Amino acid sequence: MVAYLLGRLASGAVAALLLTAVVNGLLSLTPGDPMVALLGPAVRNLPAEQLARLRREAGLDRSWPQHYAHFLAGAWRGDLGVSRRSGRPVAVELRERLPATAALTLTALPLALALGLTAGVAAAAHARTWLDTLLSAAIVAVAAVPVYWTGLLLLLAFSLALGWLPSSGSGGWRHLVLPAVTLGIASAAPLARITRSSVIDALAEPHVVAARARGLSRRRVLVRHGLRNALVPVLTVAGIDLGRMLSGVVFVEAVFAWPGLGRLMVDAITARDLPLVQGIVLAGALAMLAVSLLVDLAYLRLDPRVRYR
Amino acid sequence: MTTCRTIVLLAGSWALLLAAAANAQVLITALPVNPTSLDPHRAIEGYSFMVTNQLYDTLVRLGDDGAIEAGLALAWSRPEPTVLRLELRRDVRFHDGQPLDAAAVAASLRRLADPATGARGGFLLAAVDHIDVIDDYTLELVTAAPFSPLLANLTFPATAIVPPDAGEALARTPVGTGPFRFVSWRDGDSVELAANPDHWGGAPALAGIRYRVMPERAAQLIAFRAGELHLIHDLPPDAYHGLADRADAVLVSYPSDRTSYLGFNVEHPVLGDQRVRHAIAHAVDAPLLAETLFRGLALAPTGPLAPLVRYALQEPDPYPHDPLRARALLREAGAEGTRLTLDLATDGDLDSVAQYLQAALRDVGLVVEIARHEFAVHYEIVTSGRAALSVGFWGSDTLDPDFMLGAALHSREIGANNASRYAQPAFDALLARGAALEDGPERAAVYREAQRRVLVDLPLLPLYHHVGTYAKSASLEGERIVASSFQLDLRGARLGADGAGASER
Repeated sequence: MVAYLLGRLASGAVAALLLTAVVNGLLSLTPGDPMVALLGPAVRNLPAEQLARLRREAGLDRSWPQHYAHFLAGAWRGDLGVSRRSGRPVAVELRERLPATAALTLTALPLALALGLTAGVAAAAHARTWLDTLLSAAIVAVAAVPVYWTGLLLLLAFSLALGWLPSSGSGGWRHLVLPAVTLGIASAAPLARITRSSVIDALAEPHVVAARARGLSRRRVLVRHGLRNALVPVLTVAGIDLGRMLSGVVFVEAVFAWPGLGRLMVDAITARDLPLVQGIVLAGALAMLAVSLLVDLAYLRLDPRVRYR
Repeated sequence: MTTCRTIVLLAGSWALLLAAAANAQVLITALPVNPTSLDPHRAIEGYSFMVTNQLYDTLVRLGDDGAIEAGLALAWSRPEPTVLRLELRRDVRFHDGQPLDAAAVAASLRRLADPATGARGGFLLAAVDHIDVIDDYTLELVTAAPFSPLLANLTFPATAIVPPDAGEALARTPVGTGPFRFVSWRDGDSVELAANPDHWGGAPALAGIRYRVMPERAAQLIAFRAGELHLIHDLPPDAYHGLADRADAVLVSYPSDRTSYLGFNVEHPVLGDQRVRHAIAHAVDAPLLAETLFRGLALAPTGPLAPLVRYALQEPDPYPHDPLRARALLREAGAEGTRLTLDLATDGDLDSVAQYLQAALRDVGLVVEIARHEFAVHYEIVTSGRAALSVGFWGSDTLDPDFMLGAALHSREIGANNASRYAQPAFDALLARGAALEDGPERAAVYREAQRRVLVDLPLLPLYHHVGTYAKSASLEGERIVASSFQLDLRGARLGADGAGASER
């Protein structure tokens, strides 16, 4: 088990390394001067020598392998560099924005699980009935609608028409409701689909038929034998879903002006703020690594046949 | 005991009422981006200046008619053509209590000009050779050669005066002399300011300003409609007219200092022929463009500079729409059927303009392909002379004609801002003369001649003059438009008694 965990950590570290190398390479090789991207139209007022000086100070005269080596050397010492846009340490920027994104995703995930599992189990329990058709259609519709659009619709309904909740910003639990529900609904759709098909498969297993024959109640059969056996693939999708959620926060945070990492990422990419982009990518990679480890550990609990060596 | 309880209750209620009244005087508005810095010398984009304008003062400022007004400097004079003497107010203190004197102002200007500061606005003082402190409240800016735009340059928000001990910390904990002082900045969320009761211009009526960072236009509009914002800026035509149904919203539009252009690369084998450029100018129906695409929120071009800019030419319809003449000119130049690429940046909201130009030029026999690139790539393409046609805009933030004409069309800017690669020694000479002359009829004549030359040589075709917009809650009154982009003077602004029209839910 310990060997397995160490192996996972090592492979995760290699993945993070590769990811940051790819991001570094892509951003460094993107056409256009990063200093011009950072300054925008303000660049037109700068004399050429001052632009050259700013480029030098930002380390833009280095080649991308040099850049990457510089980043790795800093990261090894725990220094993620300085944001080109704000001039502040990347670690400080991450520390300020991480709690908002964590609050958003950690509220949205249970919501997505509750909605996805309930809809999936209900559709499976009434497979090939009108309820199944209705739920499946709703699931497909939700999956097809961009998260951005869902957010705007919820804003129009609950903030503008009903006036129940603030439309944007942060500050209290009421500000969190709409962004978390938007993200939760968007993430619930794939969960509901996998839950439905896994539960239908599980309910067709011979031991479930035997359980029914023994006269167990329909509910007990559904929950103990159907859902429990379906949870392993569901958990896998939930793990992947959390990763997808991290990309969903980019849109949700923009619509609801939620001050998290997603919006910071957009600002950083727009300004080609390489140190900041790399810091956020590294944080995202570490979060995904942690989630996939937790999912693997949860398999142990759900399925006694699973063994890690 | 009962009396005591009543007194406590009354006191509590009074305190709540006072707090509510104070809160009601907090203006809530949206900022489309998280500011880069609240140090005016290090801020990059205009939206940061929206905040710094309230925190700091400049030496001189622009009034709503574009005239230069007193700021921290009460009076100015030119004892010699190369010397700008400024006399400062005597009753000014920074928010931390430090007095503002000539030494502090000189230190602030030197910081701005020092390349080590990396200030984006350093170019505004490029002509200054040295600064002399004459006495506690008088200083002189000495230029190597006469440079008339210097006073106007001092209206630019990047020249705002910072304390003499300003360092890196100013970016996050700003200290100025402005009508509002800094309270807090929650990164990516909001910036809070409170009224400065000791401001030299008198205490503002507002208790404070809350800027909410809201990148999405749609979300800003919903928040405004939901009564969570008092003020939203810079509305595109659809959003602006879409708010017309709101009885409690006031829509304001005002002429801006910006003009959008179609740039011609005069070194291009086909566009190098002046007849082709003139043909394109006659193919474009600029008044129609302003009226239809912008639904009245743009002005038909009257010359290369927006009408607000000093000495702007006021030629009604300099290139009348005449497709027949355009076709004839193209035929004469042998340019019919030429394929041209039109470059534009993705972030400029210019797609519909580019599509209109594509259609208009097709009508006279030119094939235009539109190439959209992210700003940095677009900039590289146009500055390196690889673009044939390009669309973009220029602002004349200081309202001095030298600001735009010098930056965009002087031959020294080829390879940088002069995307047209226009090199006319006579035009350069006019700019040099204009910059050296005192404001007055002679200077006006020089710049008008320079603009007429632009209309004849046509390195760029003015398409429309921008109109600034904002929507405000009916309870907000007394705000004053400053005749330059991104500035609203809120010193005299107040919120009416009707609950102020915006509230935090």
